[in-house]
Amino acid sequence: MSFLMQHLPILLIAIPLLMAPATILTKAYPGFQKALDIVASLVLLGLSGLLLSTVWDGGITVYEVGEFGKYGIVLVADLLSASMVVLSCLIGCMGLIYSYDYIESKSLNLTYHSLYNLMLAGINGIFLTGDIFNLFVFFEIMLLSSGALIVANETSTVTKISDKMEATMKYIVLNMLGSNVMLIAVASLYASIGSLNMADIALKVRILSEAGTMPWHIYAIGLLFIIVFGGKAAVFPLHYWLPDVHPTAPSPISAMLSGVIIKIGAYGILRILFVIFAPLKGVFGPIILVMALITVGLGATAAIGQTDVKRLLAYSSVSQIGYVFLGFGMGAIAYEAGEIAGAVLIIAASFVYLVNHALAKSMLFLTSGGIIHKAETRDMRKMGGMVDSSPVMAATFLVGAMSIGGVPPMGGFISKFMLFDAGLKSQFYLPIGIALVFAIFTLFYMFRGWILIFWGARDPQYGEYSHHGLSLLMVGPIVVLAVLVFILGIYAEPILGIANTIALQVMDPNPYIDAVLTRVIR
Amino acid sequence: MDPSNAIVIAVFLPFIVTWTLPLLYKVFKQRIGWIAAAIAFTCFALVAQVVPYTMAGTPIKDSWLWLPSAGLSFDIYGDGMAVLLALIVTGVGVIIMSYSTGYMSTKEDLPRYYQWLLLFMGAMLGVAFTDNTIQMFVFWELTSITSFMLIGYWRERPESIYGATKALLVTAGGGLFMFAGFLLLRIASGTYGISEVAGSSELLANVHDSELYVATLILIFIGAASKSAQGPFYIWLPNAMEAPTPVSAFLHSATMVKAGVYLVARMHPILSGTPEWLILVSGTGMFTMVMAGFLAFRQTDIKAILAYSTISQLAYLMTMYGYSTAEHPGLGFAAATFHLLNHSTFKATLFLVAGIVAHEAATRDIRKLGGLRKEMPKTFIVAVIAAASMAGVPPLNGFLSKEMFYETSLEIGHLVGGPWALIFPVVAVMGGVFTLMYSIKLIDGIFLGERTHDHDVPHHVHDAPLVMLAPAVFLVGLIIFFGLYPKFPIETLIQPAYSGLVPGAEHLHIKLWHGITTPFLMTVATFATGIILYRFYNGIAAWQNSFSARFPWISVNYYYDWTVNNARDVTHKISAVFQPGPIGPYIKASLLFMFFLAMVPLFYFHIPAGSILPAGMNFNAQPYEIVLYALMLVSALGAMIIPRYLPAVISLSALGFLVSLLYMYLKAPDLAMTQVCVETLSTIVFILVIMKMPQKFKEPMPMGKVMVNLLISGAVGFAVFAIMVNANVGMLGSFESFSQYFIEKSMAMTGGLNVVNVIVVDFRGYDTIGEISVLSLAALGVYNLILSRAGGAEGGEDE
Repeated sequence: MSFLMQHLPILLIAIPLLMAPATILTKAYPGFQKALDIVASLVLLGLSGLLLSTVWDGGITVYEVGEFGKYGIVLVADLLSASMVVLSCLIGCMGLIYSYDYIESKSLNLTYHSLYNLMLAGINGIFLTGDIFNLFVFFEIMLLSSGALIVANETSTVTKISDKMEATMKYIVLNMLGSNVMLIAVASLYASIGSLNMADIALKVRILSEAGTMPWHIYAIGLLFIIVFGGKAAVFPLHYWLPDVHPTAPSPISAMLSGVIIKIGAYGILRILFVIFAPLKGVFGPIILVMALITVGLGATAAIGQTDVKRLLAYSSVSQIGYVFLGFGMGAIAYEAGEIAGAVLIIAASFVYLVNHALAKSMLFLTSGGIIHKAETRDMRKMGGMVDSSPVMAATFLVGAMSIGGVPPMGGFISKFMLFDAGLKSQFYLPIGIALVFAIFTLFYMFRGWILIFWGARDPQYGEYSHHGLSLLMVGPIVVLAVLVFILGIYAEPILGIANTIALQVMDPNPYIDAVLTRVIR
Repeated sequence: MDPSNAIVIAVFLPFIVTWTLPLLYKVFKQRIGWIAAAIAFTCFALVAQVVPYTMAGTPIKDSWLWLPSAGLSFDIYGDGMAVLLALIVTGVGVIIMSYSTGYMSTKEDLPRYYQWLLLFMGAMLGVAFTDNTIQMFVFWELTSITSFMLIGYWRERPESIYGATKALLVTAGGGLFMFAGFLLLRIASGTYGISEVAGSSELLANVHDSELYVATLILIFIGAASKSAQGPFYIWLPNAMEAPTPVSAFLHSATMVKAGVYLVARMHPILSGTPEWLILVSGTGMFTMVMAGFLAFRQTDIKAILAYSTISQLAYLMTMYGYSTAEHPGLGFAAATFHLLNHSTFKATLFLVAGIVAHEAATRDIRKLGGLRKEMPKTFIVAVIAAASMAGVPPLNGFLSKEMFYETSLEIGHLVGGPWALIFPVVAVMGGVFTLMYSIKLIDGIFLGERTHDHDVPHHVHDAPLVMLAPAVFLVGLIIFFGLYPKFPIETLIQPAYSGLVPGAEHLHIKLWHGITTPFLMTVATFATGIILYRFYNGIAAWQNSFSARFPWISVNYYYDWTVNNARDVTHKISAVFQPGPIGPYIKASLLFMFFLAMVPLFYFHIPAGSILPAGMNFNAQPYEIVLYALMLVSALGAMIIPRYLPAVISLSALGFLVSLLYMYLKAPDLAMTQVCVETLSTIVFILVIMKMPQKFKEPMPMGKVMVNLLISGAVGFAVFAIMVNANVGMLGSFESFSQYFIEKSMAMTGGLNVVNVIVVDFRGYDTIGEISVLSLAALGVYNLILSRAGGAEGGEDE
């Protein structure tokens, strides 16, 4: 047990990393392979919960890979990291279970397991690392593995392989651009400040800022990270990859992309811009605010125009991540204006929004996989009347639609409530007004989508729905996530508590810096 | 039972029981409706226990922990108004669910029907007893969702879907505005509590003095108006009639649409007493009252007439709640509250009658009906009494509240003065006249006149079965009872509601006969005008039809339909502009944005152009260095402009080798070696792939495009150069680089002489594990791609 507790952060990365070769070596025994992977992902989920509770009780946990302190690579689990890891392990586990009956068995057997585990390792590595170059390395792991997973074959495929190729190319190329920018930024930063440790950089940036000797290119470097994380999060004008990639990816991968991977961008903004480049709030705050508002509007508007159920959800993700970034922008501006308490509230609201969207949207993507499974098309105009044959999916999709639309008693309501309330308290009347108008757009496209799929009747020319229902392995994860969305709607207190602490930590990086730097170095 | 527990149980009982209905259905089959009615009755009984407390003027107040981090608790508040609404909801609920056992065919999906009805009832009870705004919004939206589900009960019918969508968008969308209003109210008052603000003169003053007051009022009123189908938001209610008739009777006449009015009453102590309140609430009410009453004429479906009538009657309530001045804030309050109760009785009855007629005569089209009084005598009597109450005929309850309406209209007109002394009463009488006319039309169209012989109508129509007639008869009993003996409802329900929300409310005395007063004369005028004008009823309806055919754009529905129908096309066009498809523009956008971000600090801090690049840059280069740089430039350009793949790739790899030469020159032999290896390998792989592809780029790029691309890449190149070259100046401040540490410790700690190797395998070995993973990952990914391409061969990419 003490070994476990001692090495908890690295285990969350090492286990999936080791599972990648393990699942390849066991491919001759598919049953064993599946069982092994599912056990591993459940263990991972348990460990992530353990990490969260450790961090909640004992404060920031720092783990040195090696024994070189800030000079080597450290893993840092503060409350933000730990919660993000729980989120990724939870959705990852659900997506994996769902994949067993959704992904075509040959594809599953050969590479899917190992790529999936590498993706999880990459994501957990991103959330836990305290080293900015290491962040780049795990970005690459996450990017390549998720990119390769996009082309995995479904059992009932409705997406042409050429579409998948095109989407993968857009995904890889546009994100590689971000990676290159990150490399430039990290290199320049290292040359100027001589450090790769995030806490160390944060400290040095603050020293420069307080001394008033910060050269302009440090600001430019800070802003370049908006490209890096804005691209991951798919915020205007860096969102272009998302509407092609999310729909073409297999549904469990879409769930991971929308649920976790775009949240990496949000995490990065909090970690790198708010913690490291804290003195830049006055510069990046307004930029992020404007980007966010355009994203909210553009995503919601485009979502109305979609007939493809997964494209609808994809544009909705763009719009919703805009709401999260709206909070970031408002939070930075409020902080800069001296309203620290207001800024903390706003950031907490953003985090709640992020979590609720992650759960609801990944659940919706999993449900949409089931819908496609039955309808054998992604075009909602060719569906209709599915409620009779799939009442469970109708219910879970409704739960998701209500949550995304901000309708109580679902989780999305709590997040909209928190965000709007916090924003108005800090007198962001116009941004909240715009957000409110597009909230009605959201309500419209989510419910119209639901009605198109589940009400009415299917035009006979598209044939009948496939008769075999969804397997338990597919329904189970959907229902678990839907129940979570509902519970977070009626009783959100735990997540609100966590979010408030996270926001405090984000707004005051000192505990983070102290936890990492006050260590004995050989 | 403790009254606060009774309230909480009443609110949550329906939510809990509703989940058991599918199971119970397996046992009770079509008798499931009686179970639902029993639940409703239990709730009624629970709520009724609170009446003594409200009569004694001691409202029930209790609070439980909910979301302390957000400053929210679960608060209940049971005053007279809440109890009144709750009794209407549960009472009508009992009636409707019993009635439904006869109305709904046993082939219908009954568990779902009763489940949503119960959920709705619970949500309405939640709205009634809530004491904070956020909780109000939660239950409020729940009523919208349940209403959506019930309107769309016949979910395969396009009309149901249309009606349900419209209702949801208007009511739930309006709810979001209300929500924003609540948040503003919180900012102005400092609390989410409702009774807390109402009970504190200090908080009330804060609200009224706040610069947010008008915005708060408007936003909250949008919510109320959209729920109660007032003003332009009326459009959803007529289409909501696609719901099964008992649902229409329950939700869309007696209860849910009252939620908006209830909200106005609830907010009355907080927001009323200002000219803005009077103009907004009464103004919207008066306009809606006349408009909806008038538009009822052209309707031919019984339920449509009743829908417009409901809109108009709700507008009475709005108008009266709006009668408020600083000195007399609660002028129309008692009248409105009494009419709220009365409207629930007579309108629910009329809907039940509509259901009976549709059930027996197989049509609700008033043109096909007529002369049914002989075949359906009991229904006829019930309908006549209810319609008479709606029209304000003494001695029924509708007469009493309508006279109070006229009386308060005179008073407010007098208080405001000027031409308004006339306008208020005249508009009130106009509303009354229209009400009277369509009330007559209802009876006339269904029961009087000649029996029609339309092929839709059966040859012989039966009177209502007992199970459907009894609820209607019970309601008619209430209509007469409240009319003849108003003291009972006034003392138990109306006075507590009035006194609870209007400070200094006087004791109410309501009698049937006051003598010949102005309100009585107004009633007489209403009857006289109405009966005379009724002769032109069909003419007016025909004129309305031709008018709306000529000017379709006058209707709000026109804009709703246009918006909803064109939403997809318009937004699709917008998104096509921003998301054209090919990757080129996306890359350009990203790069331009990158350039923009890199340049922001220059403008933010007003960096002079001369200081963008660091001073004292060393431009002294040896001639052979210059040759090297020139070669690098040439090969980079070559990679870009050569239109054939193979030479372009070779040019690119030449660049790589030249870079390794540079490393050598800069005395980094291990880096140079790595670079040579990587470059050799990647060139081989590249060429192997390229060989299989067509050797020419598809089309030459137009010159303009090339220039644009050149400009963008030049700008980005400059930005990157500036950032890198600034960093090249050296360590900032007194910081020391990690490199120092690595160089110092490498031998001592690891025994390694080559510091690069030590960094890679030791200091930062963890990164190396990651890089190794990336490599194997790339291999896996390529394998995956090849696998998935098996069969089709088109387009490829390299990683």
